[in-house]
Amino acid sequence: MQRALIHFFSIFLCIYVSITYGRELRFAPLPLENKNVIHEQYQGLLSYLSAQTGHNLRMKFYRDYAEIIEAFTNNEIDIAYLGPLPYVILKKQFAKQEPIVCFRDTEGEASYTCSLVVFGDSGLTLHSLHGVHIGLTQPYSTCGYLAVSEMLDDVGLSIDHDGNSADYAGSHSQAALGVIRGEYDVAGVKTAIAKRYAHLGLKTIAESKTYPGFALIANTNTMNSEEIRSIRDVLLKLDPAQSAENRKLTERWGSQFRNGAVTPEHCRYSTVYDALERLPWPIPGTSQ
Amino acid sequence: MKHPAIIISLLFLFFESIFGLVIYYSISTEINYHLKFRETQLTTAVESITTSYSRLVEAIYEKEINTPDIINLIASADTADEETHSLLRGRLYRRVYPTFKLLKDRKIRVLQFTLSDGQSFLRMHRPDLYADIIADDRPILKRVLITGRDSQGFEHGRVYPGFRTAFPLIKEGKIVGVADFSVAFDAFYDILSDNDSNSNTFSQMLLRKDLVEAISHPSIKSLFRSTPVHADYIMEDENSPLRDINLSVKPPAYVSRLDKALGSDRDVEAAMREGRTFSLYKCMNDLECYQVVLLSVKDSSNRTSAYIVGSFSGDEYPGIIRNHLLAFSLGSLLFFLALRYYRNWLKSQQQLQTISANMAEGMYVMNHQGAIVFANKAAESILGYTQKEMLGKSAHNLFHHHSSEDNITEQDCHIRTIPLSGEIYRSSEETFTDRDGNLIRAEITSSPLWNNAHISGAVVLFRDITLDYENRIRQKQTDTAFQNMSEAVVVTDANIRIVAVNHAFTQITGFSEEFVIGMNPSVLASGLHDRTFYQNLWRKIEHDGYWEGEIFNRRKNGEIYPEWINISVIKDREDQVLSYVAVFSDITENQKKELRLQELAYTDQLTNLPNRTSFMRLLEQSIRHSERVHTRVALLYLDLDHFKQINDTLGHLMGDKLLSEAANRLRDIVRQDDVLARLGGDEFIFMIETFEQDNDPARVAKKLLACLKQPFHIEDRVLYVSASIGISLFPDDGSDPTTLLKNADAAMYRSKRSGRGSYSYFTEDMAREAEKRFHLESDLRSALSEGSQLHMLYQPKFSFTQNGLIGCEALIRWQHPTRGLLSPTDFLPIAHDAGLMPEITEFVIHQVSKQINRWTQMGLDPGKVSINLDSQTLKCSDFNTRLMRIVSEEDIKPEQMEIEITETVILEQSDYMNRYNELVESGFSISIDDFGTGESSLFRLKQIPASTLKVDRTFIMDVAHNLSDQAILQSIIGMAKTLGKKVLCEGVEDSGQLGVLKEIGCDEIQGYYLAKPMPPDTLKHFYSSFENNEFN
Repeated sequence: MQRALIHFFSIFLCIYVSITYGRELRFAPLPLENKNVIHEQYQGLLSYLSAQTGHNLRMKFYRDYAEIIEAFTNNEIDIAYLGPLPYVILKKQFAKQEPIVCFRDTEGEASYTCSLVVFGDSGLTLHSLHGVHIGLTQPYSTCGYLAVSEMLDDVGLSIDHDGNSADYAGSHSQAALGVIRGEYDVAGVKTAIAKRYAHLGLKTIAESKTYPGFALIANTNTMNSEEIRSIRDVLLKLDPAQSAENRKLTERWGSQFRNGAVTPEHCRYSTVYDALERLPWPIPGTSQ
Repeated sequence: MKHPAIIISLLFLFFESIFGLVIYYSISTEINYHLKFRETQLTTAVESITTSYSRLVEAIYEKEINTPDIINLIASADTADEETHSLLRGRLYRRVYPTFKLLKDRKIRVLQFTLSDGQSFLRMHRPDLYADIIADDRPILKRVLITGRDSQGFEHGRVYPGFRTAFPLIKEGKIVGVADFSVAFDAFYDILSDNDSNSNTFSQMLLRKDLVEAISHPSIKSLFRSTPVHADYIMEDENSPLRDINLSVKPPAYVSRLDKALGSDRDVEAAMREGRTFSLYKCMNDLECYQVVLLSVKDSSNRTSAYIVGSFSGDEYPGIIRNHLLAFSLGSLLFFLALRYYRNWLKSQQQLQTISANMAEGMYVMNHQGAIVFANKAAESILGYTQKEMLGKSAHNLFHHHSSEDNITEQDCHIRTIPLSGEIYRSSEETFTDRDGNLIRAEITSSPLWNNAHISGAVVLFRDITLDYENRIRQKQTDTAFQNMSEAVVVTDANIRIVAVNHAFTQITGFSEEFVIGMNPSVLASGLHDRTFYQNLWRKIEHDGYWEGEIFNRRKNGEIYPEWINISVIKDREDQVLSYVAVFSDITENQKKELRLQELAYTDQLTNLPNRTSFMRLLEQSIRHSERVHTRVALLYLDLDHFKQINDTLGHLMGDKLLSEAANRLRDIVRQDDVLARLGGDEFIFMIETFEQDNDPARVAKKLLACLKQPFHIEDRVLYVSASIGISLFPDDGSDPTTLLKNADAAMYRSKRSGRGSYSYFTEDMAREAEKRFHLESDLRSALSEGSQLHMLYQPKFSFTQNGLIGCEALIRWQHPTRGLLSPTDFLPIAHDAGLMPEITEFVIHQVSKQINRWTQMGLDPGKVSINLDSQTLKCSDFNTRLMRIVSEEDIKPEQMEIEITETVILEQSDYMNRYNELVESGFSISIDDFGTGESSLFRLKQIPASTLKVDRTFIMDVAHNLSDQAILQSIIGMAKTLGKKVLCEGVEDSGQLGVLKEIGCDEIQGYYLAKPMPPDTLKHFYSSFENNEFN
């Protein structure tokens, strides 16, 4: 009964606000190929934001980050979901943007570290990584090319030099299990993933510095501060870790959104800025 | 059968229910057939898949798992430290991964290695989960660890549920672990579900939520989602990122809707709650239907731990339903039409029954044999028979009476035979007999009753027209009476237009009915009455409803005539005028008759002179006039002398002619201002209205007497009459007509007393005499009622021949209280004039009868006691009866009484001969009194049954010295002897008379010489002391 009343009130409020204040906001999700997957992962979040803020968030699909960034700078996008790296690229090109929130990862952290892992009886160390096959997660994953290259760079090695080769496993787990299965000699994964598979003989040989989490970025050319604040507020008040109701609310959302969010201040992009300076551009493995 | 709609509805419901049940059974049968087929198909498929996968798993186990290196790895893990454990686990993962990949490609998603202590060593499908004691929650694993033999069945697990097959890993005869395979339900999808996403065949597995939650790893929960099918069940979330197998078959779009529909199905809920396999058809709408089989999956503990929900196209279902509904509809339509036809038939039957029941006409139906098969209520009412009494009976025998032919047999009865020949028989002359035997005049229509072109009987409608018939007769009578009324009748409508008149109207007015119909009755108006008259007339009609009075109208020939008319208004119940009815009669003749009656009332018919009534009115007027002008009026009361004798001797006709002639003579003398009238009998009155000289009345009286002295020549007879006149004067002798007339009468009486043929003026002594007479009359009436003043004396009678007493004569005396003893001559004339003689005579008869009885009681025989009978009493028609009654009452014999009647009376009352004879026949004897004073003829004497002639005393007085008287007496005696009668001589007062009478042969004598009248007691002594030869 109470839920029904809430739903009723929400619908009423949505209709009321949309009539009085609401307007359409253009939202750019991650540029993945399968629109169905995007829809499944994002629809819950967007419906929530629309209902709570009174703005109608409508998705606009782009092939890749380059298109997103271009559209964003052309004020064709109001909000974009970006990882640290694309955000930094955007920020460098377009000043009229503002991070709204940063999402916690599954571990509840708004930041994380990456590790280099090998199988326990391989005998490999960070310094001995010459001529090895490296497993990477994804091109734009911080623990991917960025973190692995930084960790290798710390010891004077690189991903695509020193006889090394790299492939993208697609995810942290696959990168880690790929090492156990013998498909990679070494892999760069989130530290949390490395620990998860330690009972399978996986061994960490290096850990990176911390990186900020994924964020919603607002186009301040097209959105006023009140609109940005309203979105931020409704996201920040979610605490799925503590609230069963919030968990229930977010259980159908994409996993990247289910864990709550933090204010942008918690997202330290400086490390990304610095690293970006050292990365080849375009990042190997990307279409650019 | 009063409510066909209800009956039809009930029948319809009954048949529809039966038919519906049949259809329902048919539908159920067909549906069950399809569902059972699907259920069997799904069960078979699942078993087949399970079996085939078991074989596949077994083969893979044997070839790829049950290898020494793997067994060694497992066996080493049993005793290795933790670090080595990790390396062994990683190596095993690396070793088995290719096989697991192969298994996953075949939808065998679970491959787990369990150590001998039941601890999960490696889950290939979830390598992150490990070291839990899985055998505690997995009976199959426990069973394998205990028995050392492979085992299979459905079981939930930490990660995935599935159809599991576990094989022991044995090293050197010792179980070191278990290899556990589980076929994901996804494996079934490819087989059970159609690969086409638009297909209508799909299967999914629902898992018991409580069992899953009891064993699953917490991180696995997001792998599942709830299902709308049942709250107690969950299912794998096909979109879960934890899924390691991507479905090759996506759930068709209908599945989610179907799941919701199943979730709201109570049968589904009940079946799943009870763990039963259940199948059904489920439709999303009229055309989208599915077969759903909920196949119960038992786990290794024989619990229903999951359901395989197979959904298949149910396209045939709408067809089944449609076909059955069509069959049902068609059947219902047929039922409906049939029952509607039946209802209409019932309705028509009921309508016919209602019509027949409510028909005013009686109706009965005869079959071909003439027996009644139906009769309506009106027939019952008219005939008095109940339908039960009539059914099966012959109408002809039961109540046909027909009209005049009494001997009509049933075979000749037109009411039956004519309709049976196909014709319709109509008659208003038939007569029926009701139950009580009363005859009913009936108007009938007897029609053939057709049945499939054959005549099966007759329908007879009849109406009791007895009242109509009688009304027609009555109307005819009324019409006849109307037309033959002597009074004219005019009927108008409310607008006063004539609508009917009768013959009398035409006769009186001369206007024909055709002429006056539609006209206003004013066509008869005479013009003698003004508008106000008619306005008053109509006002009274409107107010009182009628008017009656005399009107002068005009006939067609222009003649005005009086009519007595009564106009009445006829109104309906709402007081609205319907018509006016005028009844009138021509009163012309009535008026003439009235005038005539008026003439008769005031005119003497014999003389055409004014009668007494008229004269008294005229006298009244004259007196009033004289009072005003101070003149005098003289009345001359004239009475013819001895006119009675003329009447008696010459007859009344002669007397009347005499009176008429006398009146003519008197009329000649009357002046114009004077009045002559006849008061009655031989009495005339003459009024001199004004006279100047005092002797004028006397002069006129003389003239009157003189004119009457002239002889009258009537029918060859010459009659001489005289008259006596009494004169009274106004105002000298009275101031009112009655007094004046009475006084004139008194004066006339004086004239009569003074010798007749003269006139007398009224004087005061006459008044006194009249007054004296009046008082004496009053006293006599008192004496008669009082009785003691009147008494009887008896004078004995003697017989020469018997030498003794033969009887006595009763003589009345009046002992007046103030005047003393009065003799009969003092009061009998007054009694006669007052009409008291019958009363006095009756008194005498009573007294005499009592006395005779008294004497008889004393032992005295008084002989015949005579009483005197006068003319007034003789005229009483009941005299004889009264006399006989008194004699009888006093117990005396008629032979003891003699009745003396004077010769004059006998002569006057010659019409009473029968009465005399009756008296004599009764035993009385009659004697003629005062004989010799009258003018009896021998013939008359011979006829009268008198036994004695009582010679008047005038012939006795001088008989001793007068030879003439002696000669007369001798003649009388001789005549009497000739006629056989005795002679009694009364008034014998001396011995000389006695001697002569004896000598000349007189039979009987009476007189003072012998005995005076004496009281009864004295008479008794006289009788006792009398010697028979004493008077000789």
